[in-house]
Amino acid sequence: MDSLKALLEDLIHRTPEVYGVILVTTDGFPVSYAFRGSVDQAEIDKQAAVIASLASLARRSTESMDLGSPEEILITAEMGRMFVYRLEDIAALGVVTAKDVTAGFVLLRIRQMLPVLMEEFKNTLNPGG
Amino acid sequence: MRTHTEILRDFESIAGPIGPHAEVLREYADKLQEWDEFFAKAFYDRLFSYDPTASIFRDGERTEREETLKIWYRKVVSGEYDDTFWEWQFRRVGLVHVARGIPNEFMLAAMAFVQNVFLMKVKDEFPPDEAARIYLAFKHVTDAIATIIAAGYMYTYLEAVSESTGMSLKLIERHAKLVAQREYADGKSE
Repeated sequence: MDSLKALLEDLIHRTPEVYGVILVTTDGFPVSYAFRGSVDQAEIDKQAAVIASLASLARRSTESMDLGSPEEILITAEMGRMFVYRLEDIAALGVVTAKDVTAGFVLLRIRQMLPVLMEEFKNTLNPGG
Repeated sequence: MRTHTEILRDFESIAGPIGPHAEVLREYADKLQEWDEFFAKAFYDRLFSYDPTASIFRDGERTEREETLKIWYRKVVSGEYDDTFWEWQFRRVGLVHVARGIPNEFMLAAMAFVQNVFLMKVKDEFPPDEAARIYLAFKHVTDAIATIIAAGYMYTYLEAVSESTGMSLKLIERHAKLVAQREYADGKSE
């Protein structure tokens, strides 16, 4: 779990526009997270369930439209943006950013991290390989 | 999702086995089955006399519903239950209730009414000791049916939400637990 947290903290450290990032299981439990500043554990639990739900809803919607599985969900809110990624069928990642973010740059950083994160997560699920 | 077999096993472990009660009903089945008309009329008189339950039915549907209830009642008092019977209560009745917007509270209240009507009837028709024995048997079996239907309704409802949204039952359960835990904690601190 430390290696997962290190990856998430590294993303925040290298990308000032990223406020927070949560890795969750598909059934809505937080696996690891990193935020600028402190965040209440109850809020993390709630966000984890919501992020997993967004990933599920997006998949149901895109598959119903014959678009295949969703790669990325972008929500633009009044004060920021949220990106949600479904990581195969075992996890989802929520990334909270500033609103005036240069989306391409942040997306590149996130997308570069995803395969590494996925590999680490699989290792934590199955440490023996 | 839990199965009707698991729910029935829980019911029997907590409330007591159904077998001995089914045996009592089998003993009196011929007589009890004669009351099907009486039951169907009493049941639908009550449901049609209350607007929220009456509004569930379509115009001209009552005769069809009474026939279905008569079949159900005769089956219940026959004391003969196989797996198909319990599965039907769990899956089919749950589906019908969700599809028609019949909440569990209506079903449970209606089942209580059926039990009350049965008690009045059995007291009129049998000596007190026999009446008590038959009523307890009927109540136990119909309590089991109500338990199965209530669970079937809930699981059918959850499966429908899961199917529609893509959210797994575990994820829906996670949402429910988080909200319940928060509201419980808020209630304790008030």
